[in-house]
Amino acid sequence: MSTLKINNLSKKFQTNDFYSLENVNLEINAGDIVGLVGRNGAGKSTLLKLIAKSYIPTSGTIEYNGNNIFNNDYILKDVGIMIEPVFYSYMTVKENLEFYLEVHGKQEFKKNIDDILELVDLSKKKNNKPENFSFGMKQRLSLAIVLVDEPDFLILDEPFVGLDPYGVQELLEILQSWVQERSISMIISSHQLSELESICNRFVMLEDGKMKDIQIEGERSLGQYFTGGKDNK
Amino acid sequence: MKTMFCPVFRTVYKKKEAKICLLFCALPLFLIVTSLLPTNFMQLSGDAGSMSCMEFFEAVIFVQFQLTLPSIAFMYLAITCIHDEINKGNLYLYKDIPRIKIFLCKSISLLAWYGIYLMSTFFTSVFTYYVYVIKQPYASGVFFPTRLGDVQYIIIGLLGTISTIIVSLLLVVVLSTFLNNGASLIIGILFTLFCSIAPNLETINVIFPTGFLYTYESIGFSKAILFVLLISVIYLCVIGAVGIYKIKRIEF
Repeated sequence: MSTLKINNLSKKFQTNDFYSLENVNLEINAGDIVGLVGRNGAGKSTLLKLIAKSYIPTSGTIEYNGNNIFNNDYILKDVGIMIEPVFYSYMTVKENLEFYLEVHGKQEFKKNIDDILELVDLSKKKNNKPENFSFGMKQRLSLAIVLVDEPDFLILDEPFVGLDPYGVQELLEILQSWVQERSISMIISSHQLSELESICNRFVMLEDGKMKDIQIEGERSLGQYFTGGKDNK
Repeated sequence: MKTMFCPVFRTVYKKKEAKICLLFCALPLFLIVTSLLPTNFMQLSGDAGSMSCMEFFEAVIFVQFQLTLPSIAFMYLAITCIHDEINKGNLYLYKDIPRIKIFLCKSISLLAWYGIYLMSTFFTSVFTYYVYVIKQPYASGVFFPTRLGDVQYIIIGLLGTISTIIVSLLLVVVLSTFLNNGASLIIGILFTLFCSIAPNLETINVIFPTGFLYTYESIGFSKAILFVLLISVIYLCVIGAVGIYKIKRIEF
């Protein structure tokens, strides 16, 4: 059985006369690390927000472990969602992680806090408030919050955006070590194609709200796929 | 709900806006400060030996209400807890916990903070009464008033004011789920202003929780209490129904 199954999913915003997503079908199995690519406005964030239940679909269904996520609550309790870097800027790093665990009734994962902060290189800042953190630090804090309860499935929307090359590398290493240590599934959208290639084992593309699977053959890179041969990493 | 309340309450009381709200508890202490200055600002007067401690407390709550500033501070706190969190995407932190439960927890947290504010105002009022007011000729020196009519006036006054603040806070909570900060705040302030002048309005005073302050004697104290509670419950039910409808449809 698929971990995540999307059936004929469509989304049309009230203010638009076109569909942002149209009849999208996707299956993600256990262990799949799916790279979601596409131009700006192709519908990547819309799809991820629908999976995260922050948008309501116009039609279609999304099933997580066989349950329609829109018919039930608490279905996403083992899903980590990082659509944008979110946290309470007036609470310390540690308080943010504690809040996340307490609000989901997962206090047993409090023992993970120090290890996660070590992983994202924020252990020395655990008693600091993130309001004056750099963008990279905010991204890493957001990732720490998402990872602290050891989710089975990760939804990451443009996690590398706004980061300098060093920050991208750091975040990539964190995700790679996390994926290697655990058998999790992930859907991750990004414009950083080479970074996606280093972590994903499958790619799907959105174009004008419609989805297609990408088969990378031979020595071709994801960048070459987009440019028809010319490497554009 | 119990599991969620503590962490959600922490996100409310740790806000700077929450601490600003609590500053208004110090209002009665200004009476002591102004008594040391050559000014008529915040000077109390009354018949000799007429003011008990509870009457002083009721007067403080009424002045805070008339000032509007504490109400605005609480409404602003409500807006930052709801509208700003929806806008900034903080709701992602709650994943798919039922939206109604999240907003109920936030509303209860706001009301709990208002309860702490009331308690703190009570303590500063009692302190001011026994340190400063008791030495003034208009003070009676007793905690509760001796006349039944005065006790009833305090109860009607406090109940009406507190109910209005609770209703206006929940109104702003619901409005801020779909309106911008300015619009939510203006509607909340207008509601509070209408309620503050309600006792002086004939006929339509009965549709506001504060409207029975001067007329309770004519309809009877028990009936007036019942009406204040009934009107407040009706407001809360209507606001709650709109809230449930809107909250379920939030997209962020």
